[in-house]
Amino acid sequence: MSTQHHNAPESEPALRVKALESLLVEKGLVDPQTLDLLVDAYENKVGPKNGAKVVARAWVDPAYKARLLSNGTAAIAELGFSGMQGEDMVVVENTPTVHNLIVCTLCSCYPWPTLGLPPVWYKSAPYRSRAVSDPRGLLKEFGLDIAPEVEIRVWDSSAEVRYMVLPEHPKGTEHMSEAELAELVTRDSMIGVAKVTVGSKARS
Amino acid sequence: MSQSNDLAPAALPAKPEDSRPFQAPWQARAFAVAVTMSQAGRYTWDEFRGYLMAEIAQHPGDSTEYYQHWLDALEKLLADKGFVAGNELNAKTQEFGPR
Amino acid sequence: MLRPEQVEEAVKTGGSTRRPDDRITPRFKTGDAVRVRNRNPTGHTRLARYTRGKRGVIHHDHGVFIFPDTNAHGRGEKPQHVYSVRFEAAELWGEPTSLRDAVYIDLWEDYLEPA
Repeated sequence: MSTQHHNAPESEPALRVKALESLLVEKGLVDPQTLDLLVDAYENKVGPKNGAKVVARAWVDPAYKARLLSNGTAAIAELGFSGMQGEDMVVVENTPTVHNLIVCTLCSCYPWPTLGLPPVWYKSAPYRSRAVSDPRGLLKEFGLDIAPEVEIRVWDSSAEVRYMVLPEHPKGTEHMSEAELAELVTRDSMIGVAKVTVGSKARS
Repeated sequence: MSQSNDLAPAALPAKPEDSRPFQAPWQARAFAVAVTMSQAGRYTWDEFRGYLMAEIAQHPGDSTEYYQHWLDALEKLLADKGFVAGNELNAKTQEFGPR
Repeated sequence: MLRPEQVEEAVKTGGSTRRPDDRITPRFKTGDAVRVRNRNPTGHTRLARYTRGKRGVIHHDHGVFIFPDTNAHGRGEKPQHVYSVRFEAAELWGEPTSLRDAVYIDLWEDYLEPA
């Protein structure tokens, strides 16, 4: 018996997920309201704005930056960010001689508390393979040309530790407040496929 | 490109980018189900990751939607754990859609 | 079943698989040369294929974590040290786009042997 309520046919995965949720609810294993709250958390509440605050704090407060680089989890928690897929954090610093790039070649591991959920391209097969095998070529496609004398370090999140890049503090921003600096920090700069400039603007 | 990298490089996903965490409501639901069952202690997140990695490893280099791998992994894990059998899910799916 | 009122706490807490245990002494330390075992495991694994048989250097000891390979098969948590290991691009790819670049990957102690 069909219980179709929509005019447009739903895709196969949409039907399967609906069925799965329905069965789990029937069996008392999930609460639909819990699911709603989780979706809301990761659509609207947890996102790269969190990581941007961490970066801006590190830029203005050298003692905080030192704590961040030596114990990422604790320093990030100082600003109120913690939890799922961020239980063990390591922050790696970009400098004039080192550029860092984050990947998860095995699936899509990503530091949720500071960056939210990963973008589609981060989870794609081309990114996952080229980040480790040809980071320079990959970064060129993102519009980032890394000088030959700069060392690229690619961090493959293959275990439980989650990584985040601390981008370089851009020139021409000395007059900015911590909050204004946070507005410049993009998600892409904290993954390592972009730099922060005085003209950048965090999208979300 | 050299020896050990068996994934053929290809163009990155096209711009402009859709930066939403989920591209369809079913993806959001599948995400939430995986997380909630893990947080309720039905399996560890690591176990789920293992199933997800296995799905991805079976399809190297192709452009299968990421959340399709996620859903396949979730279905297999829930079946192996005895929570939702495959045929039970298939039957319920039939109820929801025209066939 | 996770209740709606538990969601916020769950999101903020997560679930670390770290198992702090001073009795579990690390086999390796920063600077040690190691080689990734050339095993062909079945089941779930976190051993990225591109590192198999390759030589690297221990960058950092992350501490002790559950070992997913045995845990997934009901053979126990087998907690052990997880290391960040640095591999030169030239070692991994033969003809890399740079002789300066490196990949750092996190590997359980069971995946490594002295080089």
